[in-house]
Amino acid sequence: MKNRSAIAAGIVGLVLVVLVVLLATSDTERTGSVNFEVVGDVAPQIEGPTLDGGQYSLRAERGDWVVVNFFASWCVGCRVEHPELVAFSERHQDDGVQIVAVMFGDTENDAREFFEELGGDWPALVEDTGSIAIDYGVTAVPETVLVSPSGRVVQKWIGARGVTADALDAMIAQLEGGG
Amino acid sequence: MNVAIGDAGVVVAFVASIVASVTLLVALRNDDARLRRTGVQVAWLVVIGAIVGFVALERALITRDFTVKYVFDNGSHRTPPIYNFATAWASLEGSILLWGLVLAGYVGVVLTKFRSRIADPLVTWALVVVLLVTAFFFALMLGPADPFISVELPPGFVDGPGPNPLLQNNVLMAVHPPMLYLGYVGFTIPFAFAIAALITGRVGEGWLVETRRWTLFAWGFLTLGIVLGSWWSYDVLGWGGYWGWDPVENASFLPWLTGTAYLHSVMIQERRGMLRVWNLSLLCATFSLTILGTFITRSGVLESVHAFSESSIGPLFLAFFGVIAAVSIGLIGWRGDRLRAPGRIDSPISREGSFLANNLLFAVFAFVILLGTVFPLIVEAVQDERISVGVPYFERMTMPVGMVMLFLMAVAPVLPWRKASGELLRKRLEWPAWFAVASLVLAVLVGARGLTPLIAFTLAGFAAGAALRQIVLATRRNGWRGLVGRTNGGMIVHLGVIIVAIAFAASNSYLRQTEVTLTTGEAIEFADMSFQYEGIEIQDLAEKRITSALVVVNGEELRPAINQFFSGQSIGTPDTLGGFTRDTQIALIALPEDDDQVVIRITTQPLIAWLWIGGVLMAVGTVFSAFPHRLHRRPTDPVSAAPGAVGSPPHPDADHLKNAGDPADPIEPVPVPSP
Amino acid sequence: MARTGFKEQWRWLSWVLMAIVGIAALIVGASADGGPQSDGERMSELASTIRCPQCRGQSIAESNVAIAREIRGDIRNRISAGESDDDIRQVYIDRYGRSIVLNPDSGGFTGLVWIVPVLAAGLATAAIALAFQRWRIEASSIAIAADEDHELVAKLRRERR
Repeated sequence: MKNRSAIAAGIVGLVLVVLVVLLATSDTERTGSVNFEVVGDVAPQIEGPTLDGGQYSLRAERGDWVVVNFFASWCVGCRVEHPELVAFSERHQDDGVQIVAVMFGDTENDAREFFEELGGDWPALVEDTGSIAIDYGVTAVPETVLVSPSGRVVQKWIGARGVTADALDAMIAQLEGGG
Repeated sequence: MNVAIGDAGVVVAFVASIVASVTLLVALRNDDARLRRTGVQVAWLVVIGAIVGFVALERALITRDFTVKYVFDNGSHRTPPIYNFATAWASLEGSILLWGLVLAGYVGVVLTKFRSRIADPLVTWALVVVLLVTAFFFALMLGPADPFISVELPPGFVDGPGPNPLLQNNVLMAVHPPMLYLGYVGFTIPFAFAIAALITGRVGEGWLVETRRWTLFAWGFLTLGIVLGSWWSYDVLGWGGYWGWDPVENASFLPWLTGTAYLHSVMIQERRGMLRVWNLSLLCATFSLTILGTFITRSGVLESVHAFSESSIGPLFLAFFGVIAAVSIGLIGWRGDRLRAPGRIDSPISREGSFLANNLLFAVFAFVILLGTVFPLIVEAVQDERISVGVPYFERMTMPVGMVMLFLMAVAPVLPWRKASGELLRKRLEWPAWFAVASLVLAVLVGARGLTPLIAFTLAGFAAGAALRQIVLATRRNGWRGLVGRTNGGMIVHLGVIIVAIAFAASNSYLRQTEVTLTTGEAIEFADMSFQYEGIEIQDLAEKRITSALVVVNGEELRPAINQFFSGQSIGTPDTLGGFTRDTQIALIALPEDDDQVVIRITTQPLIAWLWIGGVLMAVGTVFSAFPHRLHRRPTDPVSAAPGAVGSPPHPDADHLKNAGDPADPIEPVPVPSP
Repeated sequence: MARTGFKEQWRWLSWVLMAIVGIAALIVGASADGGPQSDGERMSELASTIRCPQCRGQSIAESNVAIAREIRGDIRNRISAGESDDDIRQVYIDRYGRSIVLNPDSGGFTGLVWIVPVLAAGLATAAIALAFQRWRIEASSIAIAADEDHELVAKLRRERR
C-alpha cells in the first residue's frame, strides 16, 4: 500500500506501452475499400436488359469463362482499362470466354456514349444495376471479376491495375491448368 | 528571399529554445542568477524567431512567391484574400509553424508574467519544459515539416493549385484551426507547471492557482475550436450532421474531457488539499492527449474524414507522445506518494463528493471514447479481423453518461462543502425541480415525444434551474459581480453546456430527412413545408465554378450548390434556412445530369442554432470565470516567493484562510435578510 | 416566524404536486409516439449504421459517393420489399464483411468494447464507495471521542450545579 502511486503508474504505463505499440505497428495505408468477400462464392446472378436491347442472364452462360466488368463513364480507371478489354474480346470471339459489363452509378445515355466512343460489343447492363454491384461487393469502379465455367467467382481485380488482355488470358490459362 | 528569412526564423527559434533550456538547467543546478538572466534573454529569441518565420510565410503567400514550395503547393492567384491568409495553416508545414508560433507566444507570456519570479525553481523548471516542447516543434520544421523549401519554377508556370478546397469553401475553416491550436497548445503551460511541481516536489497548491487561469484560457479556446469545427461540419456535410464521432473529432474531444475533469477536481485540491496526484495526472493526460490527437490527425492509422494532411510526421508525434507519457508517468510514480496529502471527504453528498462523481463520469466518458476509437486496431491485432466502431456505439454508450452528468449538474451546484442534509437539499432543489417539470411540460406542449429526449429535456431543465438559482442569488447579493468569478462564471458555462445538450438531443431525436428527385417547376411537401425546384444556376468565379439549384422553401430562396474548384476537387455546398427553432438544410447530391432534374436531400431538425449559441455562451462563461469575483491579494504569493516554504505541507489554517474569502460558495449561509 | 413554519409544513405538497405533473407529462409525451416511421426515415436510420465502404469513417447516410447512393437505393428497395432491418444489414455483412456495420458485435472478443467500459465504471464507483466507507470509519472514530467529550461536559455541568 506504501507505493500506490508507483503501482498505479506502472499499470497505466503498461497500458500506454501497448497502445503505442498498437498504433506504431498498424498500417498507415488503410485498405478499407478493398473487399474480396465475393471471391470463392457462387457468382451472384446478373440479369437484365442490355444497352443493345437484348436480355442477359449470367446463369445462362455456365460453361464459359465470364469477365464481369463494373464501369462508369465518369471513371478514369475505366477509360484506361477499356481498350484492354476491347483487345481481349477481339481475341475471344467464339471460344467460351466472354465479357459482360455492368454500369455503376451512371446513366444509360452516358454509358451508351462511353461504348460508342471507346468501342466494345459485349453486353452491357444499364438498368437497376446497383443491387448487382452490391451483390459483388463493389465499392468503387472499376472493379472486375472472373467467373469460372462452373459459375464461381475465382478472381477479383480492384481498379484498372492488372486488367489487361494478356493478364486475363494468363489468369484463365493458369486456372484451367490448375483445375 | 522569403525562404532565407523563414529558414533563419525557424533556425533561430530552434537553437534558442535548446540553448535557453540548457542554460536555464545549468542555472538551476548552480543557482546562478546571471546565467538565468542569459537564459531568459535567449528564450526571447524563440519568440522573435517564430514571429519572423510566420511573417515570412505570410509574406510569401501574399506576394504569391511561388519559389517557396509551400506556396507552390498551396498558393494561387485565384484564392480570395482571407483564404489566402488562412492558407498558412491549410497544410501540414504551415500548421506546424502556426503551432510553433502559438507556443512561442505562450513562452513570451510566461516570460512576461513571471519575470519577477523567474528565480523560483518551479517557474524555471516550467519554462524549461515549455522550451523543450517548443524545440520539438521547431525541430519538425527543420526536418520533415519544413515550410521553407525553395523550388525552381517549371517553364510556363502560371499559377499554383490553391489550398485544399475543403478549407477555402467556408470561412469557419479559416478560424477553426487557430482556435483549436490556441486550446491545444495552451495546455502546454499547465502541463509544464505540473511537471515542474513534480520535479521540484513542491507540494503546495501555489502552482495550481498560478495555472488555473491558463487552463481556463486553453479550455475556452479548445471549446470554441470544437464548436466551430462542428459548425463547419454542419455547413459542409449537408446531411444535418455536426458531430460524427470520427477519430479526429474524438481526438479533439478527449483532451477537452480530461481538461474539464481537471477544472472541477482542482477545486477539491484548492479547498481541501486532496487529489494532488490525480490532478497532476489529469493535466499530464490532457497534454499527452493533444499530442496523441495530432498523431491521429496526421497519420493515416485510423480512418477519418478529417485526416487532411497525412505525412511521415505521424511516427514522430507518436514518439513524442511516448516520451511525454513516460516522463509524466515516471515522475508521478516516483513522486506520487510524497505528494499525497492525508484528508478525507466527510460525505458523498457534498460539493467534494459531487466533484468526485463528476471526475468519475468524465473519466468513464473519455475511456469509452478512447476505447471505441482504437478498438478496431485492437481487434485487428488480436483477431486479424476488421470491424468498425461508429456513431451507434458512441451514442449508445455516452448517452447514459451524459444523462447522469446533467443530473449531477443540477444537484452539485446547490451542495455545500463537507456535508449536506436532506432538508437542505429539499429546500435548495425545490425550484430547480420545478424548473425541470416546467421544461418537461413545455417540451410535451410543443410536441416533443419519446421517452429518452423527454428525460434529457427534464434533466437539462433541472440543471438549468440549479445554474440559474446560483446566478440569481449571486447577482442579487453582489450586483454584476455576481456574474464573474469561478463559481458564477462556471454556472454560465453550465448553462451553455445545457443549451448544447438540449439542442443535441432535440436535433438528433427529431431529425427528418428525405431524398427526392425534382424536375423544374415541381414542388413537394415535406415536414409541413413546401419545396419547389426552379432550375439550375451556374456561376464562374476565379477559383471555382458554382453550380446551384434554386429551390424555393416556403417562399425563401435556397441555393444548394456543388463547387467545382479548378484544382480538380468538387465540394458539395448545402444551403440552410436557419432559425431559432428549426433549421432546414438542402444539399445537392450530384451534379445534375440534365438541367431539368436534380436530386436533393432535405434535412430538417429543430434547435440547431442553439448548438452554436450554447457554444458561444460557454466561451463567454469561461471569460467571466477567469475574472476575480472579488479583488483580493493573490493568496499564494508568499508561498511561491519564499523558497523556505518548499516541501512544507500546506498549513490547514492557511488553507482555510485562503478560502475564507473564496467566492466559490457565496450561497452557503443564505443570509437573506427579511425586512 | 409562524409563516415560515407554515411554509415548511406544506413544502412536501409542492414536491407531490411536482411529481404528479411530471409523471403526467412524461406519460403523455412518451406514450403518444410520433406515429409509425416512414420508409424514408427507416432508410435514413438504417443507412447511418452502415459504413460507406469507399469512404474513410463515414456512414452511407453521410456520403454522396456512388456506392453510398447505390446502397441507399438498395436499402429503399429492400424496405419496400418488406425485409427487416437485421436482414438488410446481414446482406451487406455478407457482401462487404463485418466491418460494414458501424455497430460492433456484442458477442465474442468484439463484445469487450461494450463490456469493458461498464466494468471500469463499476470498479471505479466501487473504489470511490470503499474510500467513502474508510473515511466514514475514520470520521466515526473521531465522533466517539466527541461523545465522550459531551459526557464529560455534562458531568462537569452537573457537578457545578
